[in-house]
Amino acid sequence: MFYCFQEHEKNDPQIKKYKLLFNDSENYNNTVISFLAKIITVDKTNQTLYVFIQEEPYTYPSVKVNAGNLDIQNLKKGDLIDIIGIFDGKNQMIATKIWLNEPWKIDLIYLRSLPAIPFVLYLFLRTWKFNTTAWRFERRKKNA
Amino acid sequence: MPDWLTHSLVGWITGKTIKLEIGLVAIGSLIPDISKLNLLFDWLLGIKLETFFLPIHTPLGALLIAYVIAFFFQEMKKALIPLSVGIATHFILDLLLLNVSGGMPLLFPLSWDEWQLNFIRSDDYTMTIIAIVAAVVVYFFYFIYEKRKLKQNKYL
Repeated sequence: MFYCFQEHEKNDPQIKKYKLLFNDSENYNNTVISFLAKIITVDKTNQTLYVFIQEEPYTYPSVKVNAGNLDIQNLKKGDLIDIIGIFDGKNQMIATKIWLNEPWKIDLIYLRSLPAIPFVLYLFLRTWKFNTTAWRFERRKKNA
Repeated sequence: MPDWLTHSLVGWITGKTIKLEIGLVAIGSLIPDISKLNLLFDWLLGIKLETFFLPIHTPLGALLIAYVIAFFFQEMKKALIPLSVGIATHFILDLLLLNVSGGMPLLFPLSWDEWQLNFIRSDDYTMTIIAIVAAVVVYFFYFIYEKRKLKQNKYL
């Protein structure tokens, strides 16, 4: 765990890719890139977004996103979006897909996870009980 | 990640159909998400520890946790098998996800390469609905099957 914590920035393939793209953008034109981003501004007339890549705890420069024919009418400043696109020169890209990460949908994942806790505990504890003397789980008698 | 309900239901279905210890398969199906402890540190203390807990969400890390849990059972091997099957169901489900920040480093620490199949986004609840429907079908199938078996035994 400490190894991962210390070496992650150096070895994570996605981070390595971002570093190459931003430090040597000339050689990485037309590379497919995907990331989670926070919108800084939306220009709906020119179908353009300015975004920050959200790869916490790391920070990257802002990126200009050409949204092409994609629908960006419902996007606004501060929204979190998932983007897949093609890197197109220094700090800009052409988006091929954009998804809006709606906070309620994220909250719903946690909400849907809650019933699993009593469910799994019930499945486990109906067969096993903890023997505090032996420090072992033992089968309940009716399941022995 | 699919939600824990999906993971535990798929664990339950797997345990039921291949006749393994259901409770342990279900526990195993949630082991890799112990890594989500990082969210608690983030919410409560504002400390980002995602990369610290990341190894738990790898097959090797999850199996090590399963090994520690199995240590608390009299027959360690018998506990380790269903826990490992549960872990396998977790990674199979997670592999289906589309995550723009990258997939799972399945071979960590040997390799940092990440894998994913890009079928479904984690906030899409289709997988949860499928898991619930499948669990209900499996439940009734076994309910009817066991009732018939009981009836047959009565006549014999």
